[in-house]
Amino acid sequence: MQIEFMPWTTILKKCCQIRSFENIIQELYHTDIIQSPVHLSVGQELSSVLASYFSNEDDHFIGNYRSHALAISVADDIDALILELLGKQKGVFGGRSGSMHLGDPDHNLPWTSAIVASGIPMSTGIAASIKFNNHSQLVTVMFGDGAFEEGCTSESLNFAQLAELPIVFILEDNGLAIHSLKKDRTSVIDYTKKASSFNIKTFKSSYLDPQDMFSKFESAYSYCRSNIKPVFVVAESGRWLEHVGVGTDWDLGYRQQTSNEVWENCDIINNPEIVGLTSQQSNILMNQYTSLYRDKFLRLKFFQDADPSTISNYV
Amino acid sequence: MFEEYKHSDPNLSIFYPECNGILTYSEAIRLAIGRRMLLDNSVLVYGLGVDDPKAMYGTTTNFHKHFGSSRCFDTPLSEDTMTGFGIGLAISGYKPIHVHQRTDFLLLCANQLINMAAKMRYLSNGKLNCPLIVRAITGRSWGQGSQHSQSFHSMFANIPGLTVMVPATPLEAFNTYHHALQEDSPTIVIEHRMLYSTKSNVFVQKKKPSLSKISLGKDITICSVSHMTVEAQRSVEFLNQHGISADHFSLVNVSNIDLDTILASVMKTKHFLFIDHGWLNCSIGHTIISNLYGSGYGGKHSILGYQNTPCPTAKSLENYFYPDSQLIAEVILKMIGSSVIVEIPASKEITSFKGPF
Ligand SMILES: Cc1ncc(C[n+]2csc(CCOP(=O)(O)OP(=O)(O)O)c2C)c(N)n1
Ligand SMILES: [Mg+2]
Repeated sequence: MQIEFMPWTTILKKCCQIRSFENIIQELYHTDIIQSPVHLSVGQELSSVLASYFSNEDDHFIGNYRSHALAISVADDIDALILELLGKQKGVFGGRSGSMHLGDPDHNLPWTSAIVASGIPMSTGIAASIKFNNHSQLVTVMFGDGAFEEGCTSESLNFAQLAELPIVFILEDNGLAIHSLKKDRTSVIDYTKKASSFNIKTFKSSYLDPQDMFSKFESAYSYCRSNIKPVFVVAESGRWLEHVGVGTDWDLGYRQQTSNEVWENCDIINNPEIVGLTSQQSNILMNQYTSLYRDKFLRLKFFQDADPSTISNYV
Repeated sequence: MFEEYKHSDPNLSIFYPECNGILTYSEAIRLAIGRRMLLDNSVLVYGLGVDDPKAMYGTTTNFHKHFGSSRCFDTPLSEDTMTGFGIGLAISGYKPIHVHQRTDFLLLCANQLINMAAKMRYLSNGKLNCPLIVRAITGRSWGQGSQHSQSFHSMFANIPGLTVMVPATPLEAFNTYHHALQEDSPTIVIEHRMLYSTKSNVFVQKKKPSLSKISLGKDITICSVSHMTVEAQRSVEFLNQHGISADHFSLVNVSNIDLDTILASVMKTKHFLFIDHGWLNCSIGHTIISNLYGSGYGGKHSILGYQNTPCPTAKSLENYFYPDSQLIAEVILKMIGSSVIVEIPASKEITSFKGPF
């Protein structure tokens, strides 16, 4: 953990890295450079960045199919992530996983699952192994509001508290599961109330107030670490783009474009002043990373494809 | 919930000091797992009831006392999550054994087993290993009915990345666990309720059982699964009295068939009978038969298995659901064109079983 005097400089930099990465995918996707579905993290960078910010080098992470932000937050080797998206031999998983299963085992982010919520139970096992060994790490597991409706999420919350497992459950509540609004999917009004019913310590935060989100994450990680017990954090957010793919989907009519303005206004890349930084700082970072990643994608696309003779390895 | 692991007796004598090498299926399982737990601190056992007084038909008796409650523990009724829990442990260096009272409950774990465990190594390009062992018990009789009697070996064996083992004898059961607990990929072991008190010699074999030879013969090749191995062998022994003999194999590893051995035998006997402990549509028996013909076999074949219905509870119906020794013998006699008449009473373990579970 690198708690520092000016944390937002580091956080903004990571957020810009992720946003630029996603922007380049949006720019190049039509060229068929990535031949797989992509679930972009645009507008939802901050929760992953804060998760990795408050984590130690040896802590663990579980993500899902929408994990570009988490992978970039924890990884050092962006090239290996890009090569993975491009289906290349030198990708972090030799091209076998791709965008929906992106990960970085060297930084304790195993490949991620595209079955909604299915990574959550795994976090309980990783946390138990930490506990059995009397180690002090913790596990962050990130999932969406839709995942909260899956049975294994409730099962995992129950078990995590019962066994006092060091897990930070982060629910990224963008209010959508594909095109389904929350009100059409659940009778739960307040996710923290349900988590509290398992006696889990809960925290509510929102992208509307990044400073508050920072302190909620800080408290959550600190509570989990010092009490060796799970915590449950909700991060209310907006999904700026279509569920899968690189475009917007305002034309579908299930939600209004104006509903996104509120998220764009509190976005720390658009308005870094909110966190005491300047637009000039964020513009420089965005320009720098956008051209860096464009060059990388365009260069790495010529790398060796995954080798067909290895198809049967590691079954 | 997880107490410190406290164990001081490294001596196997805590298990079966006077067994003389002959163990029941239940004892063989307990010995295999207990030995590995002694030798390897990463092995642990969990699941509903593993530390209760009945201890999974005696297969986990006193493990929680010997090894501590962090290596043998009960869980919430959350099969789905507890499977993912095992996967999390497995990729972190543990060899967890998740135990289920009935194979039927594996359907609640299917997502984690098929979508997660089976993919772990492959999708990570070998960077992650998932040595999760799943133990499941197939029930039968005394009203087990449709949801406490199923065996999904063919279904799970359809999945690359999972190994499915169906041991029929104590020796096979011992060596299944002895070896699976030293491997690094997910394994589902399907045990059978009717087998726990069967006995055989138990010793460490060099290799994990794949296809084990139950008897040697000349007239027919029989390959059977799980409890059907007991039923089939009773038929063989009755027929022996009439000068009819069989190469009888128990199919233990359903995921990686030792076809060469079966092929060599059928080329000699020219008759092949497969007896499954499951439904036949899209089943392992049909896979083996098609592979035999694809490999040059030109003789006769026959296949027996569950009736193509859910398993009924009423005994009068259940009697027709499973093949039994009498039916197996009749099919053999018909295949080899013999007019011998046999009458084989129903198996003792079935008739004497009065539950309750
Ligand atoms: C078990 C399962 N059911 C359905 C799907 C199809 N699906 C993919 S993403 C998704 C929505 C999930 O919403 P949420 O958990 O809120 O995450 P978000 O995409 O909003 O980040 C659905 C239904 C799936 N992948 N897995
Ligand atoms: Mg959502």
